[in-house]
Formats: sequence, C-alpha cells, structure tokens
Amino acid sequence: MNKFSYLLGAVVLNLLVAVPAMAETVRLKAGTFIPVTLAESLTSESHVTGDSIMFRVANDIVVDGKVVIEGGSMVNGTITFAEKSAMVGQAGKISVAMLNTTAVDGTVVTLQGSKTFEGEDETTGTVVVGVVLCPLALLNSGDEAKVGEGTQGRAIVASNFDIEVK
Amino acid sequence: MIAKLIISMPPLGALALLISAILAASLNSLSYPNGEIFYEFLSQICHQDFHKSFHFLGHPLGLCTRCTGGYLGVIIGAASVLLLVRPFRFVPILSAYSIGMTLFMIAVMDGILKVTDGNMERFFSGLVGGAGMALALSAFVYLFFSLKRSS
Repeated sequence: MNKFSYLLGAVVLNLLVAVPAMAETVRLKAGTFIPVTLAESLTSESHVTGDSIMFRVANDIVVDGKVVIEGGSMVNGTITFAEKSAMVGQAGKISVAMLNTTAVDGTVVTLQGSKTFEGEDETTGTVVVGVVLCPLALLNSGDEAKVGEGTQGRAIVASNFDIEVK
Repeated sequence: MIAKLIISMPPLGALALLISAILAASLNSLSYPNGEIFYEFLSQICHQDFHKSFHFLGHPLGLCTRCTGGYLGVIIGAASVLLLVRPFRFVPILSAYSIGMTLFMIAVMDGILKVTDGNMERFFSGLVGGAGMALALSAFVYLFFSLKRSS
C-alpha cells in the first residue's frame, strides 16, 4: 500500500510538471493580418456613433503551425462615425473600427482597422432638378449607408502578443 | 507607330494596377494603414475578397486572383503583339480578333457562371481572358489603321 502511494504520488507529480511543459508560447507579431467579417447588419439610419458592433475572425490565425486565434472568434468593434442621409441628396455615412479579439489562451489581442461605407449620393441630381425644375426636389435625401452581415474587413494586430498554445 | 502607341496603353494601365495591388499588401505589412489608400483605390474595380486573393507578406493583394490574372494577361497579350515585328503577318487580323474575343468571352462566362473553383484556376481564367482582350484590341487597332491606310 505504501509503495502504491509513492507510485501514485510520483505519477501525479510527473503530470503536474509535464502538463504545463506541453504548453508552448508563440508570438503573434504586430502587423499580422486578421481577416474579419461583420457579424450583423448596419445602417446609418439605425446606428449612432459609439455603438458597439461585432465582427468574426474569418479563418484560423496560425503562427508557427499553431492556431493562435480560432476562426469564428468574436471581434469587438465600434461605430466611430454615423451620419444619416440628409436633404439635397446627401448620402448616409457609417465608419466602423475593429478593436480587439480573444486568442486561444484568453489573451485580449488589440487590433487596428477601420472601414467607411457610404450610401448613394444624389446631391448633383437633386441640385440640378431643384434649380432647373422644382425647388421642392431639394428636400430629396440620398440613400442611407447599408452594410450587410458578412461584409469583409481588414484588421491588423496592433502590437506583439505572446500567446500560449497547446 | 500610332497603332503600337495605342496598344501599349492598356498594358501600362494594367501594370500600374498590379503594382498598386502589391503596394497595398506590402505597405500594410510594413506599417498599417499605409497600404489602405491603395486598397481603397482598387476597391472601386475589384471585390477584394481575401479568400479569393493571393497573399503577399501575409496580406491579401489589392486585387483578387481573377483580376490579377486578367491584368497580367493584358500585359502578356499586348507585349506579345508589340514585340513581334509584323504582328499579324502569319495570322490574319480578323482571325486574331476572333480568337481574342473568344478567349475573352470564355473568361467572362466563367466569371459569371463561376465554373472554375480555386484561386489558381481563377487566376488562369483571368490570364486567358486578359490575353484574349489584349489580342482582340490589338487586332482591332491594326485593322483600323490598315483600313485607313488603304482608303
């Protein structure tokens, strides 16, 4: 019984030492390209500056043959600018930024990346019709900016991160 | 001489677009967002789907594989005609035009019907289409100037 206890103790000790040793750290370098897709639909009509939005990492991010960020991981983003369409044919505009995502070990990876979307601008046509035909046409507004779910974006890792991978 | 000058313009434009596509990826890999201006410019003419683009220095090119192949095809097609001393001596101009248009239409149909799957297939489809377009355009320009000379 005593021998068995020693053996069991040795096995447990061995596992405690061996398991952390199996974890490996790889460096996710600043400037690494992270492909993202929008996880929801946006419009300049329904969203305002400061709204939180979500993206998804489009595919696994692999460094030295190890997955550091899993495809499908959520990416936090925000709306940095939103403007509704306005009179005289002005189009709506919406700018988004990707902020961060989570690596396989739970590290929050800071990202850089932004994109601007604009609706169809009708200013020229509205001014021409308004001046030549009827001033009431100047009340016409342009199209809202609409961004569909799945729209692609480019994000870049902002600084170096050491990620623990298995 | 004027014919060759006209034919040399599309490949120069294509070369500028290909350089812009490479610059977009390489500048972004050096320091973000330096390459974004090229991505923005090229987004007017290409969907830039990163699953359907070649990657350079870890970043997608500013043009998809089909567009990359297409513009490279324009350069190769036009250069082939320009480098020949008498381009349409062996192949009649109308035949060259027909061959070029056929190749171009095959690539266009492939683009619409999405027959090819995979980046290399899309690249070669674009290459064939671009070369065909350059051949057809060159033949058209030579035909125009030969008709003008004979009249």
